[in-house]
Amino acid sequence: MDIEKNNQDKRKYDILQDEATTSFFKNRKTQFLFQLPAVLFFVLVVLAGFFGIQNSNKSLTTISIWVIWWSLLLISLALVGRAWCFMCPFGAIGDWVQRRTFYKRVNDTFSLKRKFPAKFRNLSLAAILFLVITWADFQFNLVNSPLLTAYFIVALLGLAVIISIIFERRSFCRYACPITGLIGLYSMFAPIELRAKDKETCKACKEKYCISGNEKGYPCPVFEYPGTMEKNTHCILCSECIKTCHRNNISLNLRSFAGDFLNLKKTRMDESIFILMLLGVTIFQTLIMIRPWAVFTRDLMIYTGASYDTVRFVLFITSAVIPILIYSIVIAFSKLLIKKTSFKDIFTGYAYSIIPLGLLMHLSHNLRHLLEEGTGIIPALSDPFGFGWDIFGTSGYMPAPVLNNNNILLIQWLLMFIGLGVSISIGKKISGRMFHDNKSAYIPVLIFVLIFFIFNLWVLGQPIMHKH
Amino acid sequence: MKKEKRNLLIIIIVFVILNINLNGSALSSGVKSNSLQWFPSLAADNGTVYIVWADERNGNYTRIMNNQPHKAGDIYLSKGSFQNGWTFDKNIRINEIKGTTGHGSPSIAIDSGNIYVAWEDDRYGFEELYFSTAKENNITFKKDSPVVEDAGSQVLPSIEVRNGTVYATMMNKKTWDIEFTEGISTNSVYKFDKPIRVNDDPAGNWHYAPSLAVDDEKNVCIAWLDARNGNYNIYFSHGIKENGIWRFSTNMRVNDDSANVSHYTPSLAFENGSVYIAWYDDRNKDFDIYFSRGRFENDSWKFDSNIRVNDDEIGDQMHPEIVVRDSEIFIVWEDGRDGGSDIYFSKGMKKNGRLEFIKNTKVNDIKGKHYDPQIGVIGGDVYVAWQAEVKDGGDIYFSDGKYDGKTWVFSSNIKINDDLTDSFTKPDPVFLGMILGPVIVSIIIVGFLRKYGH
Repeated sequence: MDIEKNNQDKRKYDILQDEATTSFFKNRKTQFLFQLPAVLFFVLVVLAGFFGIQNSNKSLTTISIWVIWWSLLLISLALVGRAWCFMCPFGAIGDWVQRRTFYKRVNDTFSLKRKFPAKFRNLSLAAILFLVITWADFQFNLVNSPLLTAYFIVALLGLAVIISIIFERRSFCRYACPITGLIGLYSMFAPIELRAKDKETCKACKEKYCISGNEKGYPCPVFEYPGTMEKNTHCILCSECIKTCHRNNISLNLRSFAGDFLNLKKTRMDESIFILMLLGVTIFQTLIMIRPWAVFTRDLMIYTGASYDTVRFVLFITSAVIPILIYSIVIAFSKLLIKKTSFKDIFTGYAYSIIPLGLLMHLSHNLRHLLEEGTGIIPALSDPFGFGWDIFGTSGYMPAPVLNNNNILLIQWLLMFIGLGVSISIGKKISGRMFHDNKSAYIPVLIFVLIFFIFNLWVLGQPIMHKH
Repeated sequence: MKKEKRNLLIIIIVFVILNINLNGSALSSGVKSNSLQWFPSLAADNGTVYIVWADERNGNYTRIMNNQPHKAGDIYLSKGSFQNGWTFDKNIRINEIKGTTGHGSPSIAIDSGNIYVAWEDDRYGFEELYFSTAKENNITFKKDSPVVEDAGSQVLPSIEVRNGTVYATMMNKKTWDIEFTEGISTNSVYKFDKPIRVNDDPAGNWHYAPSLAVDDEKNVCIAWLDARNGNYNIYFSHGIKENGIWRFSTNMRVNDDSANVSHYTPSLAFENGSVYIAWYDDRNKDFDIYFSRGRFENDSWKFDSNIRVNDDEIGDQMHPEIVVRDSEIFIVWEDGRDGGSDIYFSKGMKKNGRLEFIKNTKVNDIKGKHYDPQIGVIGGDVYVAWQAEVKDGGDIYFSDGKYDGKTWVFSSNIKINDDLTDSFTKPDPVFLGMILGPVIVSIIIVGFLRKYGH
């Protein structure tokens, strides 16, 4: 076991070994310099949504948020984990209101510092908000409305501010951000991690400034303790622990993809259910954009007499629930093969192996939007309000797909096969590590993974309409 | 040092402002670019008119199709009513997702208080027909759905509705055939039959621009442009539903001229056992509008001699639309007699037992190029909608014609599309207040509790 750990450590490269990098992260202004442009751009996006052109194909608001940002977020999760959280405007503004400073370390924060309610200290609230926002997206056609998108951003910002002034630290980011579950779980795939260099040093450390904070930095805003942290899920890469650790025991490692899954010891039911729900919602979001959906929902409306909104809502909830139900049945079969292990442990253990497939499914869906519709940002940047401006001389640019349909489909399939391969590899390793090398228990899960893989291949191959 | 930094910042800002727009007017014009509106279709009902059209107000170049950037668009509708003059309601988008679909050729029909619209749509990358309905007294269109079950390539719909049943003809771009389908509502949702072929010639000939009318017995009459004989002729077929199966009659040629003449875009109407067809052809070298009436006699359809509708000898006349009420025939068309393209109108009358068309009347009163007129008649009013290139690529215009005892007089032309006023909005202060209010209240309460509370 130690040999394996040492081998894994050898395959990592700590970018904080470099002094310049360390001082970069230790500097309190660093994060602010990333947050400020993000906040200013979000202000522009909101103003464009409120006062600019309401044509979603020409609006900076809809193109930058739903086509560019959302797609790049998923790509960044796969490549650099929760790096977005480092500059996220919602977290930044919450922090600024709470701390009443942009980057300085202050002791007296503007907050009641309440503890977040215990029953919500999991992914349940995030899951509900994620489902609500996904529903609102298609119900109110959020992605096609600059005005509604601007309202949505302001409302979310309001929620972030209210939570930050009532509850301690970044409770919003940890428990209430609608995408915290998604980005937390997907970031486990990323080839980057923030960890304690040596856990024994953490154990021996009496001060534990990473938890309590000191004059150089705040206590971990998301209540993590690097000494026991073994996955990326909650770490927002804010670098406060790098600043506070007086033993320089924090490392920012480059590692292999999907590194978190190789060492996972603690698994959680809320995260497992979120993974499965996400799988279903991801497929649903593609399903509603393909042609067979139009025919299928029309027939359902005929047979049931229900309205389209009702049919779509029921199918949405079904799509979120069905993977959980099927997976439960699958795990029941696995349980027959590993009698000594509890159903819950098998359920949660194997659930994480689905993340790479889910992430790359999600990525392949949004990659199409990015490659087909992303160039719409070029004229929008020159004329963000649609007033006829031509700031960068690109307002007359005619957006066109970067790649043709066949090439995009090829990339999507490639990503899907990578996701499948990594998922299967992780599933087998989880069998070895958590279930006494009982690989036969993975066979039902493998069938589950293959079913979703093949179904998604079919979905991606269908004629699909644009988001904008 | 601080001063130096500030100066440097000022220099950077000035530099950016000066250089940010090397290519022209950074904060220019304020003139909003107009969008294209085209392909109008009109239906009239008790002093109310409904006009649908293809509209690029939300469009953008988002797809490459046939190696060309393809501009997306939508289908819009406006309802017009007469109250001390014609007023048209705010334009309503019919298709579900705006700006994502290709656009084209909407066809509208009204029946029993409902509005029915079918149109070309390429939301999935190929052209096909979509369909939606709304109630006249509460125009909210239902979820649109494809007319043809299998992903196909149907275009150019022409629809009629009788007692809630939708009859549609279309061109199949893959086979070049004219097809027909019938749509029936279950639980207020329409499902169409598998389309059947109307033309009876061998496969491979080109057929185009079908026009449909429903007869008294809910059978259908369809006319179309047909290239089976090499040149383009106008053909007709009559469809009858027997034992639940539609059967179409042997195709009949409608135009009676000799070969080497091309005939285009027929428009068809039906009343009291007669079918009325107008089209344009070049038998007189330039294009003229021609008309023929057909009746079912001795087990087959017979068409009268063709009659020229336009009364000029020069200029091209194209794209006629016909409507018949109480045996009166009304036709509008594009007319190039004045050198440009205008909209003209005529009415067919019996004179000495012979059908003649009255002196042609110009419908448009504004300069520009005018295309694709559509016509509806209710009582003594003739309603005309068309596309006009007046200031930009195209807008939809409307006029109401009345007979004053001597001649037909058309009202001042009214622009229907409101794309310039529709593109911008402002946040609702009340709604915004409902979002920001709790934040401000929370900050005040937290401030109070921190100061005076526990």
